This record gives sequence, C-alpha cells and structure tokens, in this order.
Amino acid sequence: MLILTRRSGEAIDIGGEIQVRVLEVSGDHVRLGIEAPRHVRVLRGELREEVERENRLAAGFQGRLSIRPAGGLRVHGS
Amino acid sequence: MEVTVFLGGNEERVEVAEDELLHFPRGMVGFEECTRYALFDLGHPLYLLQSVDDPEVGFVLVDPLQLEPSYGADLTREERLLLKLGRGDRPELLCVVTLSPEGVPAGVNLRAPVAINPAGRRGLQLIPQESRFGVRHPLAVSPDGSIALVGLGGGCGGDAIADGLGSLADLEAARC
Repeated sequence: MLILTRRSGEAIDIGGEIQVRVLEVSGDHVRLGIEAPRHVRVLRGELREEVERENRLAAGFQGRLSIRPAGGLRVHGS
Repeated sequence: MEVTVFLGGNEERVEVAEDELLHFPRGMVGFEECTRYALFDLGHPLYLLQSVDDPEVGFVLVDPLQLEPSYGADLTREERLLLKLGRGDRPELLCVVTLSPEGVPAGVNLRAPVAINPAGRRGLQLIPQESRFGVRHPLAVSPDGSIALVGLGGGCGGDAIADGLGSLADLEAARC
C-alpha cells in the first residue's frame, strides 16, 4: 500500500484521470473532494462491505426456501 | 451440464445447456471466484441464481418491479460493455433476497441489484453511486404468497433507507 502525507488543500493524482483533494481536516474527520470520470464509481468503502455481508447472508441459505416451483425448475428465459 | 441445486432441504440435479448459463465476469460481490451461474424461475416474482462452480453458492432473487414499480438503476458505459448490452438495450434487474430461518423471504437488497442481459448471457451485480434504497429492506409475505416491501408505501422504507443514504448524501454534496 502506498502511503502519502497530505495537508489541507493538497491533492493526489491517480492515473491522470482521478484527483483526490483534502478539503478540510477537523479532529478525526477528513473532507475529500474527488474528481473522476463519469464511468468511475466512487463509493464509500463500507458500502461494498455491506453488500458483501448481505450476499454472504443470502448465499448458501437458499436451501431453506420453503417455496417449490410447480412443474420443477425451469431456466429463466428458455 | 448438470447443475446441483439445494432447495427446500432437497438436493436436485438439473440439466442445463452450456448456452443457457450466465457469465458474471466479476462474480457477485464477495464471490468473485464464482463466474458461471444458472438462473431458474421459482414462480413469479422469485428466481434462483445458482453458481455452477460451487453448489453451496446460490442466491434467491426477486423482481424489484413487483415490489416498487418505479425501481430502476443507471449503468455506466463500462457496465454496459461488461453486460454486452446493445445501444438502447436495458438489462433485467433482480435483487438479492435474504431468508428467515424458516425459509421465508425476509429482506431484499435494493441497493445493489443484479443486472442481467439474457441475450448476451451476461450478469453483473451493480452498486450504483446514487440510490434511495438500502441494502436490506424488510419483506412481508402474504398468506396468498404475494411479497411486498414493508413500509415503503409512502416512499419511505424506515431505517434501512436512512442507513444506506446518510453518508452517501454527503458524498454527493461534495462531488460538484
């Protein structure tokens, strides 16, 4: 992992396309300004972890499903 | 090929043609190593997305339009390419369901839908940058088997929505 020290107002450039600027530092809060192309998704790190947690809760428990399709399993769209 | 499916406490082997499989180039979030799936109809509005690579990995999905008619998600150009969507094509969206210990649909992740292009046999779990939905909305199953969101009637889904959006609104405000 690359570790850099930045002051308020300073920025980091990533691949010439993405710029992350430190806007304000106050206590344990850091405000960041992010400039990125439209195709780059900028997400809070926790969000991906939340989605992964929900997927792990869902996957592997499908065997509990009490609903049985009438006429057996059919591939969707076929 | 034979796909092993666990449902209702039973193990079942179902024959699925190779060209009926869906390829998830990025897997599902947290299951990046599982890239080939079969999608089964469980009777509207539920589906089973079953990994071909790992029988233990299967997701019950629901058609979100049956829960919230205004549901939708925007795709980036890169996501459209990964799904092999043609110009103007729209993917099918399905959402991951969590079950109660009794095996009844109890929650749905409307924040990160699964986008499917049936024609291109491709799938991708999206995490859109903006969404008014959370990762777990409570579901209620009626005695007649119909499934509905709990508490979204007035456009508000309770705590799940607030959790999903609090910090995201900050992020949006800063990205001008």
